[in-house]
Amino acid sequence: MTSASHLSRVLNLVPYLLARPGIRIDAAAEDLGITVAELRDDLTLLWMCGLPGYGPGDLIDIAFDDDTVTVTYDAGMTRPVRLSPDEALALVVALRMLADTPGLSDPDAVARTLEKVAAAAGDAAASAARISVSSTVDDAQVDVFSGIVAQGHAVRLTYYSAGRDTSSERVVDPIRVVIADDHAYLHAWCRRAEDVRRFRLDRIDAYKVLDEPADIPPHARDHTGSPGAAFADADLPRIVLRVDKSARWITEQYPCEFSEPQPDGSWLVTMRARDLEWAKRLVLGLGTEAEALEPPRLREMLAADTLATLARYDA
Amino acid sequence: MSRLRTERLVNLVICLLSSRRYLTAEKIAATVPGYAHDAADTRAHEAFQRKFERDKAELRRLGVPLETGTNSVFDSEPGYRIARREYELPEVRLTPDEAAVLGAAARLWQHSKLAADAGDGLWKLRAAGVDIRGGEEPDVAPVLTVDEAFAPVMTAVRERREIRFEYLGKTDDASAKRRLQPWGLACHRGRWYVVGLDLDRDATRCFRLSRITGPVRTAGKADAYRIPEGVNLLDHVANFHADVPELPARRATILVAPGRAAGVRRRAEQISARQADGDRLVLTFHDPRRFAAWLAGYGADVTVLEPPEVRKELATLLADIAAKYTETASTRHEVTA
Repeated sequence: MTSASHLSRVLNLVPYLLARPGIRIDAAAEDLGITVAELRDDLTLLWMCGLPGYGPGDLIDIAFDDDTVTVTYDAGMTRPVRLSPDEALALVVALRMLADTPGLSDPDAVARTLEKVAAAAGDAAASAARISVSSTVDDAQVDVFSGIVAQGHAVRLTYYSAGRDTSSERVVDPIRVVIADDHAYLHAWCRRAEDVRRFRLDRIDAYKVLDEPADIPPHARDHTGSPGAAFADADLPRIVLRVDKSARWITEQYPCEFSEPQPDGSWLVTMRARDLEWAKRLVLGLGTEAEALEPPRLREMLAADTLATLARYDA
Repeated sequence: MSRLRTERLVNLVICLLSSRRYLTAEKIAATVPGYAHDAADTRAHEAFQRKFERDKAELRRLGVPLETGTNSVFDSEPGYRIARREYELPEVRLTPDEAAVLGAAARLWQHSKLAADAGDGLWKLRAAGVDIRGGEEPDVAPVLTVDEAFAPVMTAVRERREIRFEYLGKTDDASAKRRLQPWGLACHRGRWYVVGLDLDRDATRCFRLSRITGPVRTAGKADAYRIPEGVNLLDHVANFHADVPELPARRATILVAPGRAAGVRRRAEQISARQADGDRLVLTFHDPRRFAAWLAGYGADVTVLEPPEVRKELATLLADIAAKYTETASTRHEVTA
């Protein structure tokens, strides 16, 4: 926790305890995400604070009763501080993003929460009004799959893997639907891989909800696989491409180790490929806007592939 | 923050909250523990002033509304107070399901600064009596993140202050300096943009935050401009992305090697009975050039049978690609040898 958060915590601790007379110390510490020792430390600090005069009747008084705590004198600290503009922004924008997410089980509750929090924030929420958010994805499948997650059954998927350019079937135990980087994904325990995998919803070509309930290993629930992780692996083949500036978007799409502009306006990009077949498809898909420089084997594959294909159009 | 400073700041807040009158810095120094010093000692007094300035800034950052003013026209030195009405978080009551939504929303931020801000805000609401438990993750959740430029740009929007930054546009050769009066930020399809008046072009412009290279600097005074009323930031961002109008839909027949090019197969509207050389697929396309470029990615696994226009586009493209790996390969070899 940052130091600023510590001051905020201490300033708001008295109102927190006032709202919950006789709360158990361990329950309060858990609620605040701190240890019992840290909480006791904060309480002793507050004992030293109070109204000018700082005599026995002026200082904040807190009564301990074995495991519970009660504020007996608050020195005027009855309410928490208003939300700061940064805090209001972080909460209001997160709620607006959530409200804009398809497939919510209770969109009404999100709308009510947003209204109440914005009202409580008052002027502090003004800068959040300078931020607009639009639906991150437009996908009817989000509705379908968040419904399947709520239902809690295993699903058989026919999934197209763009990386391998293959479609395959597998049985998964759905965990949740996650919307990131302009796409919606199903996070699920993949029984074949015996690991958590994310499946892009627009690449699920078919699905069948099974009768058996989803069986998710406890440790898998908190797992969040990064889509880029597989590409950053040092064991994967390193490729070097020269791309035109019109194809520079690939550096935003795929994790690159290195990219640098050249005097002729092109860019040199170094990245890891899943395998050389994948790299070949990437380079061919970029057409004349890219040239593979390394490794030599990739160049040979590209030469052989294009020449063989060209022969079919010679007529 | 040291324990002593936290204690001093808590006492400062209680002191200013309890007073209806503005208290001068001198009065505060004499009252609140931790500020005591010999005012006649210039160095000690300057040290106090610096300390007091830092403390005021810290309180304002936390959202404490520190007012400055004088009690009467005869007072020469301004004083400070905290109006209780401005200080206190208004009453807020959330039902258990609303509290669960708020807890889940606050956890969505993947960016450390915003996650910390959301956590601090949540803590204040807890202190207001709202019970927010850890609870379950929602069945569907957006991943929220922001770019480095988000915080400085947002601050500039709040202060209505001009910003300067280096920007690498989609087709720029190198980053170029930009001067902007920012109006607001927009998140469109998971990406962040700033919209404002581009001072060099004297026109509304939209910049993607992830393409801002290097730091965002503010220039000039605060409140330097007005943000036009009723601007729809998302419209500007959507225009930024406007696609060229689509050409009419047409059909093509593609021969695909057995068991290959799954990416082409899944877009097929029709797949004919397999023959020895592969499967004949019918696909819809709009722009022959873009369609050919997409097919090129599947290399030798696909052959266009119809229409001739797409065949020609693809053959030309493949010849251009092949040239990179045949002629240039030999010249490169000669140079290095």
